[in-house]
Amino acid sequence: MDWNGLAHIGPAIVLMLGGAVVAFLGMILRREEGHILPLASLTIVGISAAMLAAAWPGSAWIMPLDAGGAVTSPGMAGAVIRKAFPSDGLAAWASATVLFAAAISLLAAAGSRLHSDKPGEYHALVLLTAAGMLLLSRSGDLLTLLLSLELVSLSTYALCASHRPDPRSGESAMKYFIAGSLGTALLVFGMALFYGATGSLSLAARPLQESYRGLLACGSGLMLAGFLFKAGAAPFHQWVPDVYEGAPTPVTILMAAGIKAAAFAVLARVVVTTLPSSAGPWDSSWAAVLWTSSMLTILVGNAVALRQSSVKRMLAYSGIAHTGYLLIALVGTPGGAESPGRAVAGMLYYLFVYGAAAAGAFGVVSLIRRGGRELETFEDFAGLGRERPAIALCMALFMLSLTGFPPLAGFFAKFAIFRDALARGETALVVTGVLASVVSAAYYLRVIMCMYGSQRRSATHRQSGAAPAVCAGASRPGEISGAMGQTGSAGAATGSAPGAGSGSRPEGDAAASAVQMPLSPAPGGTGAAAGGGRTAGDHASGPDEALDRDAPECSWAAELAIIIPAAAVVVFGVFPGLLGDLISRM
Amino acid sequence: MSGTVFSPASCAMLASVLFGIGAFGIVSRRNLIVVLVAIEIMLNAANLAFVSFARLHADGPGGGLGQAAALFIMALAAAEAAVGLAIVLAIYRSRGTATTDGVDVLRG
Repeated sequence: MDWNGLAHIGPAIVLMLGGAVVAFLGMILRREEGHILPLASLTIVGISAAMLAAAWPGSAWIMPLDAGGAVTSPGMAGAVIRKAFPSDGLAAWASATVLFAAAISLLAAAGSRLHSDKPGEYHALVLLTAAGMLLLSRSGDLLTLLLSLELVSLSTYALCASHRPDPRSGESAMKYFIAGSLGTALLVFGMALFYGATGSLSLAARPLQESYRGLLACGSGLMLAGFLFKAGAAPFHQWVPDVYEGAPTPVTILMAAGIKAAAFAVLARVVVTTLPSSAGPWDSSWAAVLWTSSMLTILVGNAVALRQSSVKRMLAYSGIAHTGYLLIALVGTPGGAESPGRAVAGMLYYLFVYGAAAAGAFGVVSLIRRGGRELETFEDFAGLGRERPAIALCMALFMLSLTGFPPLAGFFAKFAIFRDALARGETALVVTGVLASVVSAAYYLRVIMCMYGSQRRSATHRQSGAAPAVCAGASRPGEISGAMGQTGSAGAATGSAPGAGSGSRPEGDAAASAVQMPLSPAPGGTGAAAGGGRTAGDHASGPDEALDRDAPECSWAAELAIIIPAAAVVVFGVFPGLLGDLISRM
Repeated sequence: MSGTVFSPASCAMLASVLFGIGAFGIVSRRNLIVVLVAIEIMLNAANLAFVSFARLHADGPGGGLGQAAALFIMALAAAEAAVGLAIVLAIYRSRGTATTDGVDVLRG
């Protein structure tokens, strides 16, 4: 037995065994010993990360796969594993991002009290999802790819449904299940056609005869559609907002940061390795498909994010928009790029940076609670800058990084992708991406303005002042320019609001007013009524409630889940050289 | 293969038709159980394509791969059905219905 081969997938094996151990621990531990589970899970993720670092690949960025048939000699298990799971820079960096996301998700879950009924199952499923993502990012064979993808998907369906008391949790699981199964079916059928044309399941397989190229193109196209489905790119993005919003927020962290990284890793491998094999008349059309999908994803994600009243849903649509930016890195690489390494390195840096910022932002949504529920609408964030200044500062950093403001990592990530795309001649995409980033400032900065720009006010003061108009989320469908203008006026309001607020603040503290009128549905229409309709009924009392002060016993863990990504966003922006060979290859 | 009615090509055609039926079922039916059945039809269409192409490549180096893939996909379909049914049960318990009509809390 050749144990060298096992070292490549060692991190995933540790996670799977650890998942089994944690599931068992969950059965035998008493309820008051529940804090052992997050600690054990984090330890397992740490061991996995150490093994990943120990087996860090040296040279190859995307390992060229060998297209030949089966490995024939029976004693070469290590060779089989290396063939099925190539170890290269793409896999290693995507795995690092995945483990980072899993750790943040576990920390955020430890700080929220969502999973008290079946904690063992929850943690085991998170570890299994992480294992599947590690395998997915390094699969070089369609069968291992499919099985690891399904390991990720099935675990995530169950995780989405894990918060039983909330009906939205089950609904998001169902929507994710139907959309994800459709994606899987497209992928599997594409694989079957691919196998028919090549007689092999290796990603680098070539058609057996010239006349099979059409069949191969059909198969590759279906597979590409399946991957775009899983990555949440337009026109297959409809499930993303519902699932991200309805799932328990720690699971959303795992999906936004981890699954996106793994899905893009495998998408990059397919685009670089597999699509060129159906070249000839199809070569330019793959680039065209990716180009269209990227453009659509950027436009749809940003346009719809503008009109959201729920911050969590806004973050979901912004995730779609970032999928579009990430796709730019892959457009044009299948053709004649002699070194796909640069584009892929930029994509991996972007994945890590986006994952950190998104995980942190969802972590804020998960940590801070008003009236026993998560912060939801923009109004809920009003006054956060005064009530929890450190958390608000982190949230502001995430928003600025997602927008792409220079000192932060998000700027360099966008810069790397756009610069490389310009070098390949994708001017239209880059111009769209830059303009869309400017537009995206409207909804990202709105969060910051809500946190700092307006005081939380009781019902009597609701009508006055300009700043609440920003938080109220009144921008109606299609009013992109209106929303931009609103942001402009809000900028003025930011300057004026502190003075006005300190002058007219008879209620003293938002907390006091919340005690007096805990359930009064605000006159003046809650902002949610204009934007969403649904949130109005559920949370009409929300804006008048104070932050929950009875923090859960593990809230330091959830705070770590915010502080670590914030530190990552700042440090990797100011000192990008810390990411070593990733940066030097961009 | 000569003399048989079911050549690999015609099997692949049948698989495509089955796949189309399944895809139509997913987008058109409201009952969640029927949607699950449609998903199974699509996966089994892929299975049929795999085994028929395995027959086509029977003499090549990858001849057994298609049949192996079909076995894996069967296991995968079973796991997917298990998770799917569990989700449908959870939905049914909380809402008293197993159709997609009532499931519209999340939107916007």
